[in-house]
Amino acid sequence: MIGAIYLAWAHIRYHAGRSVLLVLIFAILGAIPLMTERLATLAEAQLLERANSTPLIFGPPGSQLDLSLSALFFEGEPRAELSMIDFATLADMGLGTPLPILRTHSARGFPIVGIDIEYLEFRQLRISEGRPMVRLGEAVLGADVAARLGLGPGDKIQSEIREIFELAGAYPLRMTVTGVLDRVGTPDDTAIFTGLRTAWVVAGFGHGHENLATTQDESVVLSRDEGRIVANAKLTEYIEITEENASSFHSHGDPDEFPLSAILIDPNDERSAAILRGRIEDAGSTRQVFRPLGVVQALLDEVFRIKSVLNMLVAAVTVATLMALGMMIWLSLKLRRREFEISHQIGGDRSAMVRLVGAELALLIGASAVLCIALLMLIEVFGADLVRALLFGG
Amino acid sequence: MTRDVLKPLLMAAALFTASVSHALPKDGVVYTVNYPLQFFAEAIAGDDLDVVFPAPPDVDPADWTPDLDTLLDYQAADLILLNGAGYAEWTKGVYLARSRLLDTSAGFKDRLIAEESDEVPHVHGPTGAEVQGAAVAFTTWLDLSLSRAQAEAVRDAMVARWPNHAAAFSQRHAVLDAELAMLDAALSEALTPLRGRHVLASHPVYQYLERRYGLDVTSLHWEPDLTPPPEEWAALDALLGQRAATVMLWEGEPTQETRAALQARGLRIAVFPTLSNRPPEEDFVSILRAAIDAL
Amino acid sequence: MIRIEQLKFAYPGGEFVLSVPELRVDAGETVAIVGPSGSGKSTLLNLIAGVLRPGAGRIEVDETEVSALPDRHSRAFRARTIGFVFQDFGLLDYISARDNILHPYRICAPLRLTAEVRARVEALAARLGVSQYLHRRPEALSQGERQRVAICRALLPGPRVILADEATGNLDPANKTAILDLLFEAVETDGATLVAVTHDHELLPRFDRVIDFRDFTGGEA
Repeated sequence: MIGAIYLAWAHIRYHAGRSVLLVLIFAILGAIPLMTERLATLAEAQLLERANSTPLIFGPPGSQLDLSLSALFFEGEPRAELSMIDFATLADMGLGTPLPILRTHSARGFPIVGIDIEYLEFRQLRISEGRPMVRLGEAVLGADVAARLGLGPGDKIQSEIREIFELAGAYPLRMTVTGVLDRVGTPDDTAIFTGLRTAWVVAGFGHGHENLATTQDESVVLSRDEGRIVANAKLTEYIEITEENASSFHSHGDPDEFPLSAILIDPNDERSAAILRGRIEDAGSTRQVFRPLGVVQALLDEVFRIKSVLNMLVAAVTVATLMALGMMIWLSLKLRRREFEISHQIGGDRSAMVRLVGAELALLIGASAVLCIALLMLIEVFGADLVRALLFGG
Repeated sequence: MTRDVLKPLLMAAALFTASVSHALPKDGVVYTVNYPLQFFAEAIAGDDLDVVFPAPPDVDPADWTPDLDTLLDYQAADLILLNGAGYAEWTKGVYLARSRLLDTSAGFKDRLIAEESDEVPHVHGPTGAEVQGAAVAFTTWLDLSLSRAQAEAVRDAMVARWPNHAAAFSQRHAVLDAELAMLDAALSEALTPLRGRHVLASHPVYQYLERRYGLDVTSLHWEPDLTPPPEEWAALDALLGQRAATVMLWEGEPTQETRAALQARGLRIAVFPTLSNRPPEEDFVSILRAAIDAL
Repeated sequence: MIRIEQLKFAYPGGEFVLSVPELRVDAGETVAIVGPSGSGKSTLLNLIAGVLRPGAGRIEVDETEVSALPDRHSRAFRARTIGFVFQDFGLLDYISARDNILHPYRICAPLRLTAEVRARVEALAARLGVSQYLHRRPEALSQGERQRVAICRALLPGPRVILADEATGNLDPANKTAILDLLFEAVETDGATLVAVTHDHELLPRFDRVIDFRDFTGGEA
């Protein structure tokens, strides 16, 4: 047997390229189904965890899936069909803590999310560096945002210029980073959080400019009388909120109607949640409240139904690949026919050739198994982080 | 003999208890934006909570903006008491937990007094919308019926936040409310002679006092620590020529010159502090009582 | 040493028939077998070695009736007794010359690879002039060197009979002579019997006997 292993190893080394290819193919064939299964399980767990950690979502009528993706994962086109009136209504009910969210522009590829301070407490987001935002114009960064952009407390980040919410002419806003959040392995790692008022400024629902009553530049004034001053489009708005100009920032229009994208609700208890849902449903079809866990679970069920079809395709490809490998091995043995003849002629045991070929296959498959196990162990160690980056990465 | 021994012993026991209770960790921290709210909160919370009003004693809290560290302290507080009525404009530009904010005048928004603003509104473009929110007077606590409403709102918020102290809070609030009710009655009686009569005021800060107690106040813009220039006196004379007045309300003691000039014009000075910041001595109730007595 | 009587052999399904009424090779004799291509010369060597089994007749090698041995015994006998040298050298290209020489000891059960055997490789290689090539693979050797290595493999077990099937067929004239010298030397030194199939008529005078296959009824009927 030792002789067979010796010769088998020599043959493998001599045909190193072919041997490595066989090892890789066997390893991939073995590992891929197991790795994808494991990654899928991890992805499912992380998606469900995010949904499970959010008891209720309040939003406009429409796709609950879209709303969940927007409110939980900050995905999809920003929409804002709620207003502060909705927030006040929910707050007045006293059945839980409403957590307003405004998804507005993005900055350097990462979503800007307007929140109340309670959101950070609700998501257990702690500051790892710096401090929370406390003044208008300040923002805190998710851990991945800070890492990828190389930003930290004291740096600036500017919103991208884009027409959004059908508001043309919104200026970019340069925000001051006051803090970086701890990495939590959720979409919060890839978001830029700022207060709602700042988010409204970013979205174009607030601005700051020089005092028109005392301005030296009359070219920015269209008309002036005792009752009011009309400014024209030449008036430049501030693109950064500073200590000096913060008091000049204001909003026109009714603050109650300022927009929100969604409102997460942390109910006081299950009974309060049930009462709240009942009241919203009774109020009619202009608003909805639902448990995102069910929505995400339904989505995953659909995905995994497709996955079973994909599994069948993978199985078919695997069978075809194994057949091709079998052909390759058979051809390889055919090429060694003369070796087997020589062996026979010089008195080699009939079983010697079988042992030699068997040893070679065993070594190749053994190496594949080791590689396969190594790949699976990598998935065990890094899979969760990989899935998080794929799911929630910016 | 026994009394000579007992009294010091009782005092020592009281001091010891006080020091122990102060050393015990409090259940939470309450921050306020002015002194009246601090007074109400302390009266209701007793030793159960820490009540903080961090503005320096020599500033007008209406014009004060906390520094960064103080803002972070506000943000970390368990309950933040706002006066409402546009008081503490700085709160509009900072992020405080909405669920821990209490607008103590939310319950009587319909009773807030609109104020004429010097600011000329602006719009952007001929059809642009104006900035919403008319200016209102903010010294709501000078109407002691509104003070009672604010104190009640403070009690309700504390009970909701710390239900395990509900009974104690309610009990203490009852005592405070009774005191405020007595002050309200006393002030009403003291101002009865001035009801319907023209009264001057050093600053436009007595709107709620005016309405509650039926006064007719014309406000100037005179500082207690400054003697007005001649043109201001001329304007005053013109005003008195149109409408006579015999009393002028002052937030603080005016200068000797001002006092003498006013008295020469037949005006009696009544110092009625607005109490927006903590007094160096005494407290909200005792100072109001003294002001009422002086009236 | 080799005795063949009334040998008849035919490949299954083929029309070729090999028929050898009688053939004797004495111990230590060098015999050359000549004949046209396809006349069955290589087949005869395989029959003598016991690789093929005759349809009829008897083949005796070193007093062992090879034609009657079961397969396992035939292989064992062949491993110990027969040394094969091939026209295409028959070396494995994925192992070194040394490992090629030792190859029978890794695949033939009766042969045990010992330190003594390894030592004999060195001596044999020195004798055949391939010591400096032992570490190389066959692709790095000339054809003459490869055949020397193949002869080392054939001689290492100390065979009683050396069967050479066109051993010089792929070599240049100088190497042909040299290889034949080595085979004859082995006959002389080790007391082996040599039966060589060859097309090289220049080499025939060196053999003790030449058997012309045209004398047998081999070839197509």
